[in-house]
Amino acid sequence: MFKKVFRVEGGNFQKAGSVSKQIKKILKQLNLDGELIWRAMIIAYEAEINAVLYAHECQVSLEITAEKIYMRFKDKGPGIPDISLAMTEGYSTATRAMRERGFGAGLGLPNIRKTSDHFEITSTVGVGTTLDIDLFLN
Amino acid sequence: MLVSVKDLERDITTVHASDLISQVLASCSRGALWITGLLDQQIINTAELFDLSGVVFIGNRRPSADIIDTAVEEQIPVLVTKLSMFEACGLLYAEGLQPALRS
Ligand SMILES: Nc1ncnc2c1ncn2[C@@H]1O[C@H](COP(=O)(O)OP(=O)(O)OP(=O)(O)O)[C@@H](O)[C@H]1O
Ligand SMILES: [Mg+2]
Repeated sequence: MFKKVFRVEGGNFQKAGSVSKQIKKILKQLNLDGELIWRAMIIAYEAEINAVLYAHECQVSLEITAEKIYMRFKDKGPGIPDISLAMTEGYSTATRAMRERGFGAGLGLPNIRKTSDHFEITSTVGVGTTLDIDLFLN
Repeated sequence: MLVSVKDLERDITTVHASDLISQVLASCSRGALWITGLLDQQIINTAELFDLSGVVFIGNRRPSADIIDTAVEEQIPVLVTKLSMFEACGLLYAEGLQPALRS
């Protein structure tokens, strides 16, 4: 089993995507299927960007076993008051500055759910948000 | 063409045009060419992460040195065109390129 923990800094656009890039490198070294890596990247990137946009900091745990890729994104931040609204395609609270950088379509969370084999989101307002995701290898 | 890569022999059959990154990830398949008006380094990073074939910046604006450096490092071909988004898409569509749809 492979295990690694990463940290995402909220607000740091310069580094946005760098954790996803590290994860991609690991998955490639393990010779996993290209399509599976691509799906893992959708999840990792959307979750990482949300942490950069909305959270103060986020801990990313990656675990790879013979059966699955498991990713957990646990952030400290404002949390999400209405999860089902946040999961709706097109819903976004992104600011104008964020939209000018190409974010804020309101598609990130719905796409993470769609791309995952198993997806769970929990959030506490004023504390933070946690995503738990499984991608099965077969 | 601003940035070329070692193995430029890649057949491109599909195209996606968008300035919204999540839209690309939600609807675009691997190997597509990405046409965008958003001049940002994040575009190159995204193109690399999602196995896209290349990036076309429309509107005749020159990408910054940072963008070019990243593209060279990531081996992402970058093209710029004077054409508008509408014209660039129309031209490629007329040449038989297909919309990049996610299966
Ligand atoms: N980690 C988070 N902490 C707090 N709020 C969040 C977090 N992730 C998402 N949200 C809230 O949920 C909304 C929807 O998120 P989602 O990722 O679907 O879209 P977006 O980030 O606004 O735009 P896109 O992902 O398409 O660029 C966000 O606008 C934000 O209000
Ligand atoms: Mg998002």
